[in-house]
Amino acid sequence: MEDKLREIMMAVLETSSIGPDASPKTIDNWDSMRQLQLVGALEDEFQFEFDDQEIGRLNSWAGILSVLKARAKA
Amino acid sequence: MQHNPWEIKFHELARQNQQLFDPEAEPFRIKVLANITPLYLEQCLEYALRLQGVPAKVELGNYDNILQDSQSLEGYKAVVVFWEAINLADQLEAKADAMEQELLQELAHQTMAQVAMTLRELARVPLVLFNTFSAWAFEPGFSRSRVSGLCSDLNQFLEAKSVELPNLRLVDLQKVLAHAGLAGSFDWRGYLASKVLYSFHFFKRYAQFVVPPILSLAGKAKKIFVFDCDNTLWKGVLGEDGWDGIRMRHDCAQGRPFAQVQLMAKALVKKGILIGICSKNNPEDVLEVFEKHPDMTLREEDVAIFKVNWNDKAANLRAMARELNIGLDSFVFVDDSDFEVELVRRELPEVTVAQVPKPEHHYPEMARALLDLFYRPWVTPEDHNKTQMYKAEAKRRQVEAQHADLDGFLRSLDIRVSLHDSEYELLPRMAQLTQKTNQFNLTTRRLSETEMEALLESRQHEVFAWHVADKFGDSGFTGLALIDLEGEQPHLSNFLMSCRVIGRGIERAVFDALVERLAQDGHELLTAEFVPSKKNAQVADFLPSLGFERVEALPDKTRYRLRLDQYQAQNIHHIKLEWHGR
Repeated sequence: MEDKLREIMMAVLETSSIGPDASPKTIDNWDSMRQLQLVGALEDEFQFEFDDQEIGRLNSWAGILSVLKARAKA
Repeated sequence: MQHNPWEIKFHELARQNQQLFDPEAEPFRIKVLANITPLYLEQCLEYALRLQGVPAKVELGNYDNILQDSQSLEGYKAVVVFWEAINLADQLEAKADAMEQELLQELAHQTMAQVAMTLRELARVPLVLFNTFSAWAFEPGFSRSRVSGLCSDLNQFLEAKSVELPNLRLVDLQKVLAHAGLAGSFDWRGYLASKVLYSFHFFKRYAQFVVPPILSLAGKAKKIFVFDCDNTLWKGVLGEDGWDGIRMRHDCAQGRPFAQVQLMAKALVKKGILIGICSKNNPEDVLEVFEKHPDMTLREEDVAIFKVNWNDKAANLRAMARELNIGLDSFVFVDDSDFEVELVRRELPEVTVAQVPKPEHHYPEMARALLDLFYRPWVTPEDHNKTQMYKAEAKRRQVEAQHADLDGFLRSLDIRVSLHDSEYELLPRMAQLTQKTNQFNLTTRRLSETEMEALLESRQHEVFAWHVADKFGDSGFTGLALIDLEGEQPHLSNFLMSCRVIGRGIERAVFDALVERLAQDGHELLTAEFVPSKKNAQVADFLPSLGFERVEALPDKTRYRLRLDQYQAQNIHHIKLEWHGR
């Protein structure tokens, strides 16, 4: 899951690396448009729709990973 | 089966789009103006065009700022406008049916006024792709909302504008929605939260849909459609089933798909697209069918080139490209045989290859889908006669082969050149020449009709076009020179000729006349430049060969100048040149 997430984030955010501290503060391209594209790309890949509360947490590598892991358990 | 480049998730498309980016190429810049947030359009449109070799760079304007953004678009080749009915007023989809009729009318008039102002601002942009208005986003069933009526009025207004404005092309949004399917086209969470409206699925379709006019503008529309014969132009095998056994009649079910495809080919000829025949058969037999068979729609005179022999088809297509002087990337080839289709795909990847589908009732549908590859915004008189012009060229080449020396051949042609100065009637053809000419083209500067008109209007430019004829026929307007008078010295900002008329000294005869004219106007110097492209190597030495001296060699161009009083006239005696109207 982490590899897939990294692959998606690198492609959508047009960046050559994604570290554990990745967030809009550390990645220049991560603006509001890319954020929306990232949410769409993740839903397309994992085939579900995030709810509002989850979307609020998708704003960093750590946040996205925790949402995806919680989804995988459920 | 070939891999479909559009069966792809967004992050894969984004990654491939980055890989297709060519940092060396001059970007083909496209601006998107929208009153929604067209979330995936940038990557989808870049990807669609980069796949076709256009180094597209798509930039989004600010949200709902169309009129203001339309005012500063210098350097953009095309503009895409998403002016969505749903956002003409905040949450119009929910409010419209409860609105007073007068208020809705007022909204329509206000929108028309804004669209008109925007189109005026966009007059200098070569291509404006404007989506038609649609209420389908919020009309899933039988009921029509009042916004539908509003959209009809706005679309009538757009239609009228598109007749007036040569750079305006309407994009039938409902057709795109039909292709994409309504169910997957909208992103309602995105719309309610951030005015996104359309899904990634929609934009994939949209991007493919608008490619043809952009390719045409970029000079990448296809130019020739090459057909095999047996089971491609007719049902059956001529060598086995014989004259009476082949089927291409309209009134016979077996022949009908082939009759329809022949009709499509015939219609393409009228638009200036060339038809080629590439078949393994006895040449006399095939020619006889084209000349005499009562069931044929496509005739000998419709075909620009025949390659009917037993050579392999890749070699035949290469020979066609050479003889017609057209790049293989301008070819579309269709054949029924797995073997030939595979061979050409492998040997000539530049050629677009299609296979006659089974069952054959899918064939007309497949052929219709290919017509978009030949899309061209306007048809000029040169297009109507194009097949005849290419056939005359083939005759010239035969006569050339009979003459022992080139001079004798050129003298025998009786070439006449008529030079025209800045004529408005020639605008469509002049723009078309800049867009379609690749090889004999000093700077490959492409101009739309609108840009060309602006040059004439400015009175700071002279645009010369020339018409060529000889004893074999008329080649039409086949050359163009642009002289920029804005600076201290006149500057030759482009000089180009259609490949149909090169190799006869015409460019040198024209240059004599241009230099004489500039000297008469009191100029002493002419500056010029050569901008190399992938295809114009043949003109790299053109300027020095005329006596231009090199001023500066830059990575992307070489600058030259010519002292007019030192110009050695080329005196091309076998050409008779006249200024038109003098």
